[in-house]
Amino acid sequence: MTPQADFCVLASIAAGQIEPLRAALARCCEPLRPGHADPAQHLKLAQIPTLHNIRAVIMEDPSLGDRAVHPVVWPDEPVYLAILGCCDGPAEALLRDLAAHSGDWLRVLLAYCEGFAPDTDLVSWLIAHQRGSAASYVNGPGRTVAQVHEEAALAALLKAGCAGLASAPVRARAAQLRALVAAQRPTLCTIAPTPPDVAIRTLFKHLGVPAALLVFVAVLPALWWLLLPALAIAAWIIRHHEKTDPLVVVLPDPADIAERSRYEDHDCTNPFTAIGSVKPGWLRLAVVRLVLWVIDWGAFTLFRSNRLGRVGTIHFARWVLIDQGRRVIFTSEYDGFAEAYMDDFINKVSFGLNASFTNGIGYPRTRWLAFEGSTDEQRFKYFMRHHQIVTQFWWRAYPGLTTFELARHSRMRHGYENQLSDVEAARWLSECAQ
Amino acid sequence: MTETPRRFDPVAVTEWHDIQALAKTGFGTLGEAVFIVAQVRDAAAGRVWLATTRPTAVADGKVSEAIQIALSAPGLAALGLDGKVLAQFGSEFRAGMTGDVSRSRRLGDIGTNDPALWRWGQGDAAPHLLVMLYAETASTLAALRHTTEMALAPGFTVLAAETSANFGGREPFGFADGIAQPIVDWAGKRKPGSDAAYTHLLASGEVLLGYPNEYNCLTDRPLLDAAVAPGLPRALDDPERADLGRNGSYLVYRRLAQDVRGFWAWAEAAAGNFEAAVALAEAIVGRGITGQPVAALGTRDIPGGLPHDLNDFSFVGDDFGQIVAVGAHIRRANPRNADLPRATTGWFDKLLATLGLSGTPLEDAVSSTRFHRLLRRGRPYGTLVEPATAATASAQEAGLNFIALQASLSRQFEFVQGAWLRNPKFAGLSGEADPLLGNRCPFAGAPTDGFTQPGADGERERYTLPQFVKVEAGGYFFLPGLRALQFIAGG
Repeated sequence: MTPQADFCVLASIAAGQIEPLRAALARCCEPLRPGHADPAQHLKLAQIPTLHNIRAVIMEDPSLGDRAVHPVVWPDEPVYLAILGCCDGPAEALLRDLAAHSGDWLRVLLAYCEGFAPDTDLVSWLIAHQRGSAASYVNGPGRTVAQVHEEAALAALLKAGCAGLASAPVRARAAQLRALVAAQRPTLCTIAPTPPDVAIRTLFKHLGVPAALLVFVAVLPALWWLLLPALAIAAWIIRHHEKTDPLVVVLPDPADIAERSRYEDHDCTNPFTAIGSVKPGWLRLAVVRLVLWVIDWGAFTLFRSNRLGRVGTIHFARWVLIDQGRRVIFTSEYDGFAEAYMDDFINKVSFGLNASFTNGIGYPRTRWLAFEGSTDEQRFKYFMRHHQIVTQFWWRAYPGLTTFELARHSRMRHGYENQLSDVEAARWLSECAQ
Repeated sequence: MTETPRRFDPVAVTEWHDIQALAKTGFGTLGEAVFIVAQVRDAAAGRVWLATTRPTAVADGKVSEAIQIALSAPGLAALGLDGKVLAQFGSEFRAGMTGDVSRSRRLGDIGTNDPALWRWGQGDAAPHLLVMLYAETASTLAALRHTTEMALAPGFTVLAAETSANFGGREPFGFADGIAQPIVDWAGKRKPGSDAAYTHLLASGEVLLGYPNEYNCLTDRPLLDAAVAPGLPRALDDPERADLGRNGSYLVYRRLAQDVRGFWAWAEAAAGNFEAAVALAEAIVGRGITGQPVAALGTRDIPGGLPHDLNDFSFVGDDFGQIVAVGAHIRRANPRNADLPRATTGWFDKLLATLGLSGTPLEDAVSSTRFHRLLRRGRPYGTLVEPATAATASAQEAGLNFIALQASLSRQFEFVQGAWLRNPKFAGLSGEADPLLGNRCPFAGAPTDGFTQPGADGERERYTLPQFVKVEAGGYFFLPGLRALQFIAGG
C-alpha cells in the first residue's frame, strides 16, 4: 500500500504583489470555470503520476480583523501564497516531480513572493517552505492516482460489457462479464507493497495510543492525583472561556456570496479553503494541538474506509497550523455543493467540527468543546463563509468522480478479480451496470 | 452586553389572525385560482393598495374566496422598505432566484431552463408582487380577478396572470399529487431531534419565521427597533425588538411546463405498450399512478400520519433501490430518512453509529430529511389529457404552478432542488438527475439523462430520458404576516 501525503508550501507574497498574483492565477484557469485549472495550460500536472490534486491560493485572511475582540497584542501576519495538495508517497518526492514538470509555472507564481529570485534553486526552496499538516484525512488510504485511473477505465469496460450478456444464472453471467472484459486486457497494476518504515509507523499509530493509555491508567496511578486536579482546573478555565469569549457574527453579503459561488459547482467536487485565528493563550493552543492530534489519529486508524466520522463526501482534508500556532488553515475537497457540505458538518460530525473550530475566534458557543456550536446552524454557516477563501487555482487528477464512484470502482475491480457468491455476484453485476 | 438566547423549546403557534391562510391550507375547497405577478409602478399607490387589502388569514376559517399577498426583495425595495431592514432578510431571498448564473447552475436552471428564456423572472421582468387569488367557481374567480386588477392598476403593472386548473388532486402526467406533505407541529408538542425514525412532523419554524426550527433555533429575519414599529409582534429571541418576519414565510414560485405527450410517448416507446408504460412511469415516480405506495416497501407507522394513508412507508431496507429506484422522483424529493442511517439499540450502538463506525458510507449518503422539507401549495394548469391517450392525442398546454413555503430558501428549496433533484451524483448514483424534472444537460462533461433500476439477480434496467419539464418563470417571495404587511404598507 502506498500512503498518501499532504504538501503545503507557504510563501509570503511581496508588498504590492497580491493583485498581480491574483491576475496571474486567474490566467491559469478556464475563463468559464473560475478557479479551475485550464487543462490546456496544465497538461504537465497530469504527467505527475502521483499527484491527486493541487491548489494555489492567496491566503488573504478575511477574519484577521476579528482579532480585535481579544485585547492582546497581535503581531502582523503576512499574506501567503499557499501551494498545497495531496500526493502518493512522500511530499518531498512530489515537490521534486512538481519542480521538474511544472517548474516554469511555479517560478511564475513564486516571482510574486518574498525571497524568491529567478536563480533560486526551486526544489530546495519548495522543501524549505513546506509545512506539515497538524491533521489530515484521506478518503481512500492507499488508493493511488494510477489505481483511480485504472479502475475508472476498468469500470467503463465492465459497464459497457453488461449490455451484451446472455441470460444465464448470476454467477455464470458474472463469469461471462469477466471473460468479456479480460479479453480487452485492462491494465491493472498490483497494489504496491507497504514500505517497511510506513508499516512500522502504521503499527505504532494503531497500537501506540492504546498502549500508552493503558500504561497511563495502570502503571502510574500516583500521577493521577496530580493530573486530575490539573485537568479539572483546565476544564474549568475552558468552560469559563466558552461562556464568555466574544462572538463574531458577520452576516453574509449577497454580493460576496455571489462572488464565491462563481468558483463553485463546476465539477461534482469542490475545493474548500479556510483560514482563521486561534483564540489567544497557551491553553487554547494546547487544546488545538491536542484536538488536531486526536483527529489525525482517528482519521488514520478508525476512519480508513471512505468516510471521516459519518461524512463520506470528503476526498481529502487537512489542518495546517501556521504563524507559531496563531492561525489554522483548513482545506478539503468535497463532493456536492457548499450548502450540503455545511449540512454534513452540522448534522453528521458536529462534535468533531466543534472541537476543532471552537478554539477559533468568534465561533458559535460550544459546551465542553464538542456540543452545541455548529448546531446554531445559521451562525455556524456565517462563520464558515466568513473564514472561507476563494480557491483561485485548483487542479485534480480525476475530475467528475465522487468518493462514492471511486469506492464503487474499487468494488467493481474486487469482483472482477475474485470469485463471488450468488448474492455478491448479483450485487456486483448490478453495480457494474449502474 | 447580555447575549440573547439562541436555542428554544417548541412553542405553540396561536396568532392565527396574523398568518396568511396559505401556511395552514392549500384552499382545497376553492377549486379555482390565479396567480397575478406585478411590478411596482407607483410606490405610494402601491402602499395604499397594500394598506387597504387584507389577505385571508388562518383565523378566517372556511372562506368562499381568498387573496394571498407575497413580495419579492426588489418589490419590498420599490415599495420603500428601508435598505437596512431589507438587508436582514435571507441572502438568497435578497439575491433572488435569477440573475446569478452560479445560482442557476446550482438549481439546474440552464439550457432550456435558462432564466433568460423565461416569460418573467429576471431583469426588466423581475417580479415585485405575487397576488394569489382563490375562489369556488370560475365566474367568482373572474370577478375577484377583475376587481383585484382594477385595484392594483394605480400602483402596479401586471406582468403575468398565471392560470391554474383543477384536476381533482392529479398533476398533468396523470399521477395523484401533493400526497407527501410535512405535518407542521403547530401545537409545539414535538421536540425536534428526539425522533429516531423518519417523521412527517415538522417544527413550525421550518415554515414560519419567528418560531423555533428543526435546530431549535430561530431563522434570522428582520428585527426592528420596537419604537419604529409598534404594530409589529415582538421577537421571541429578543423581546425588546419588533419582528418583521414573524408569522411570515418565504415562498418559491416556479411555472413548470410539462410535456405530457412527450412523457407518455417516451414511456410507451421505451416499455412497448401502455400497461408497461404505466409501470415504467410508476417506477420513475416511485409510486402508483393513483398514489398507492409500492407494496413491497411494507407499511410502518410514521409519526404525524394517519394509519393506512398513502404515506405510511419509508425506504429503510431498500438501500440499493431494488423496490423503489434510488433515483426515483419521490425518493429524491423526500428521502424519508432520519438523523442516523439505521435504527440503533442501546447507547453503544448509537455511539458507533454517531461516530460513523458502523454501517457503510453508502447507506449514510443522504442528508437527514427533516432539515429539508417544503410545504407545497402548488396547483396544476392547462388541460388534463388521460395517460391512455396522451401519447397520441394532440399536445395540450399543461404544467404546474409550483409553490412552496419554508423559512430558509437555501436550506430547503435550494437544497432539495440542488443537492437532491438536480444532483447527478445523488446518493452515490452517476449520470442520473430527477427523472421527471431533470434538464438533461450534461454536468462536468458527463450525461445526466439516465435512469436505472436494479432488478433481481443483478439485472439493471437502463433508460435514457428526454426532457419532460421546462421552467418558464419563477421567483422568490416573502409571504408576510398581516401586521408585517401593514408595516410595509406604511412605507
